[in-house]
Amino acid sequence: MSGKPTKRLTLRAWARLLFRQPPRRLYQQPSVYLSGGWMEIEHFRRVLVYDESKLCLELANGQFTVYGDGMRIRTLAAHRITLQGRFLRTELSDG
Amino acid sequence: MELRSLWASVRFSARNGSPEALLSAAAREGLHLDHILPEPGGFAASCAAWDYRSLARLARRRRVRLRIRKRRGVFFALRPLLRRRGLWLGAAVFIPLLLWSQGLVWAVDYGGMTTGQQARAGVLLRQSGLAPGAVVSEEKLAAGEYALVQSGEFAWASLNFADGRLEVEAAAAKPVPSIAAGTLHGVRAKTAGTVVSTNLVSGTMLVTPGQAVETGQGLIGTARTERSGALIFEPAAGTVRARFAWQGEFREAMRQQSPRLAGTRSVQYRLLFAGHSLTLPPLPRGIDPESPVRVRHWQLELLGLPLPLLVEETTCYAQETETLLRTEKQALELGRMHSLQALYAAYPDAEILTRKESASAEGDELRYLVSYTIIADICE
Repeated sequence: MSGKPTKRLTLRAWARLLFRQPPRRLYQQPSVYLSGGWMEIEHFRRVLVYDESKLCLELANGQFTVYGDGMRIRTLAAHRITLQGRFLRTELSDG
Repeated sequence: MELRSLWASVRFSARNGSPEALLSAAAREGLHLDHILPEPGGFAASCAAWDYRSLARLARRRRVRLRIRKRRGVFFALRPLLRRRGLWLGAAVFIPLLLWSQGLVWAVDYGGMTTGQQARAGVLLRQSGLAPGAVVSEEKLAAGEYALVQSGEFAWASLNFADGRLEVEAAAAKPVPSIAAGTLHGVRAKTAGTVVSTNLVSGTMLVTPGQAVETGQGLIGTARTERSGALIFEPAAGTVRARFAWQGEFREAMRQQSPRLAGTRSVQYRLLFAGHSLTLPPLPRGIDPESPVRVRHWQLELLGLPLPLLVEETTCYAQETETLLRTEKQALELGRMHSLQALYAAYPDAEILTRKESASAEGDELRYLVSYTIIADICE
């Protein structure tokens, strides 16, 4: 069985890989985490629409809409919104 | 549940205007909202009480009407109390009083003393003015230390007082060694008799077993001679047991007016605090002030915390005089008991060999004559 030959890393390259930084502004990008009946959305700009069945947020380069049932915002902080409910569909659209 | 909601949080509703814009603005301003429920025409949410004013300012700009529905947290539970002047006044009085009372005895720590030593030391300290609730001064501490050492029970004593706590440190006195207990002027016989046994601890024994001695005769001397002929002086100590007769005469009343407890009592309480005393109920009439009295002291406690307040309880037991009639046999037994009490008071180590007694009734009295032959230590 022939495989791709493994490339040996120099100590310097290994150290650079170990301490390399993530791409610029990675942590300021909008992010969505979904876990069961909980959803966390980070780095939104504005709340456009909010009711039990729909939450529409304005992001840096578009809109993010969550459709669901019995949705409620558990916490609203400066950069994070925590949503609880039954999520049916999400929609991501440009401006 | 967050800590801030435990301290102070409000539940409010937002109606009219643009509720979504208010949510966006609150998030931008860093105002933390939670439990946001959509409602017709707006939403309901909770926030920390100190964020509500900023939120209301944002709402006014966006023409959103806020209304508080519920206030929660310890702060809102206490707020009605904070408005009561009496409580503030109480705290203003209590705190200086508490600081001042650090100079009073709140608790006495007896360290490793036994219960009996604690009780006796407590009485001595109370007589020196050092009891729970008393104001402490250097003079009182010195007097207390002196009283403890003077009692003979303690070899040394130290009293330390700090922040209401009186710490008593004392070491029990040890018995004096036999040699040191000896006398420098010799040991003499306190009664005449025949020497039975001797035990020399220090000095020179001047008598031998079987020898008859007279009252005042020297038994142990303070000098002994070395082989070289030189005299060496040392304290005289030891025992000389001799056989002798001890006589006594006792008169026992067969008809006697004797006080008896009537079964009623009265209790009087006195509060002692910072050198002042307050007598609570006066003694009821009808009880003789000369009646037997028992005085007890204890410290007041509040939920297990000792307070600097001493209570003195004085119990007076009412008594009445009753005529006591004894038969000759009873009076004889009483005479025997009294004779033995007198004998052992004079010679605690007495060993009784024989007893000769005679009793005769004289009016309301029984005359009891007794003669014991005993063996006892006659050293004086």
